[in-house]
Amino acid sequence: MRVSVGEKLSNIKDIVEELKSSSSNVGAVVVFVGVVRRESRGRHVYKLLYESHRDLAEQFLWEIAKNIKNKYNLLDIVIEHRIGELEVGEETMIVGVAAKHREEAFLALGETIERIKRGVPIWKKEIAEEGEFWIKDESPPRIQVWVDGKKVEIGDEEGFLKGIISILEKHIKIIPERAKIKISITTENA
Amino acid sequence: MALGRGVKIRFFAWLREEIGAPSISLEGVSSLDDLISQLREMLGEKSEVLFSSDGSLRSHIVLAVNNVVIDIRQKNLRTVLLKEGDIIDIMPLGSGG
Repeated sequence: MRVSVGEKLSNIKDIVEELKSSSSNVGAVVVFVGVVRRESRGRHVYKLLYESHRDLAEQFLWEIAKNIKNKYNLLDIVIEHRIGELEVGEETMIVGVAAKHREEAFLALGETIERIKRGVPIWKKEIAEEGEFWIKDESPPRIQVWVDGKKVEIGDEEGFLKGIISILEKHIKIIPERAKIKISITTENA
Repeated sequence: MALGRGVKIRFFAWLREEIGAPSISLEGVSSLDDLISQLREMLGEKSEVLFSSDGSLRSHIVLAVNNVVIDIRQKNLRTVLLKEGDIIDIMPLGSGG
């Protein structure tokens, strides 16, 4: 397990080798590479400036890696995040996971990326034709549902209604008759 | 209660730009609660960057003392005592990736 926040990323091939060599039981290695793109929110981006609280960011990434590794029974996980000035086309981060099977590898990778995108003290500023813009927390409201006092899901769906409806549809079969349903919606976007 | 002196407060990302300073020092603060009160007064109009109209820290603000994140919504900030040389980091939620 390894995390880093710095001005350079490792070679992807080396990360794949590192993950493969973590265990003879590795059956799947999945790697995500984030890239600076030209078009963003209708703006024409020249570059991104990444800033971090490096000590804390590495602490947070370590916690995420540890948590995801346990949750999905991964054999290994590597997270590298870049900071500094990055031009369009440059790589921003690499997340790689090794697992016995591809299913848990894909799930683990997706959740890791979502968690890195919010909560870890790394910030980015777009330098675009239209001006300079800090990218603030874009996470949709967190939606939590309890059925008879038991939390059945924590979701990050797109928008309140879509989230609530999808969660209720997903769990409607397990909701006992006359159950008390409490829906709590919180947002960090205030 | 013993008075702590000379703590450094660092601001990150757009908070630093909106406040207009990377860091400030405060003397004579004994606890995190005390520090927040003094900071609110000191910032004047710019306190809106960090504080809601009811005086509480905005929900997207994360606060750490000597690299340890403090749960400002759960913890009694009067119990977080400060001493000279402590570094308090005030930052917004992250947007990495």
